[in-house]
Amino acid sequence: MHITHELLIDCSSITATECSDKCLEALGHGVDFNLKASTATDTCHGSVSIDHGTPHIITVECYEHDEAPTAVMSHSVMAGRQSTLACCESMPTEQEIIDRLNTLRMEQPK
Amino acid sequence: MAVIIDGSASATFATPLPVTEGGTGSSVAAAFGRVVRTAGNITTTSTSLVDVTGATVTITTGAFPVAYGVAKSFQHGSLAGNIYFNIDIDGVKQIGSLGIYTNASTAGYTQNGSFTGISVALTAAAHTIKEMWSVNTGTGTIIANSVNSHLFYAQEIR
Repeated sequence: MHITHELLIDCSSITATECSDKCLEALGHGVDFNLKASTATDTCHGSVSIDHGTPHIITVECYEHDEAPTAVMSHSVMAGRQSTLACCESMPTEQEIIDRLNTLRMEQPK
Repeated sequence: MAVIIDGSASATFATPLPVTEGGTGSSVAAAFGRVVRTAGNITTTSTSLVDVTGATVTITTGAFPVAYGVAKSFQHGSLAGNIYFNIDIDGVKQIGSLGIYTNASTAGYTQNGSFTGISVALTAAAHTIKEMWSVNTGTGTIIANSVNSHLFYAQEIR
């Protein structure tokens, strides 16, 4: 499932990585809904890609099928993907993901 | 006449095309596409290849190869994190199943992520050419501002 959502976020005072982490936190990233690998062999349930323009364009991908790692060791070099892609047991709905992202929405000037 | 300086590798030299088919002296223009991003960094946490936002061109070519390239700077948010870049032409990865990779010597350190390549001769048709990327851990960032732009291009070679 791919969800693309536009949102006005001011991340001018933080790095893009920190902005991405804020989005992950809002989305409920954690062991049970892992959207960012902390080790190369993590099991990931999806990913977040962000265009940090104005507005931000946030693409959340939630894996709907399991995929085993593709990594192989060749001449002492690890080649391929070591992470496992897995469908989340309690995958949020599209609306839930949008609602979670909307908590980051900037207050509009009146 | 073609000159091979290093004969250790194999090389294939196609017969020069006649002028009517876009060879030397032809008036048939080579197709190209170019995307420059000057604002709005891009990040991903994906451990499988995903599209680089905006880095997609569709060009209609003759039965010729396409040269492609990317000029850009990038960062990885984690020490020793890997970041992978690839080019996809009509669903076919051009640089292996994962692609070129760089290991971050320092978290958040800006590095050169530029590369070029060339496809085999494509069919005479419209083709979609795009840059893709992934990380093995953490968050990858492609820098895009007026100081460090992101440039992606593809050009038919006639």
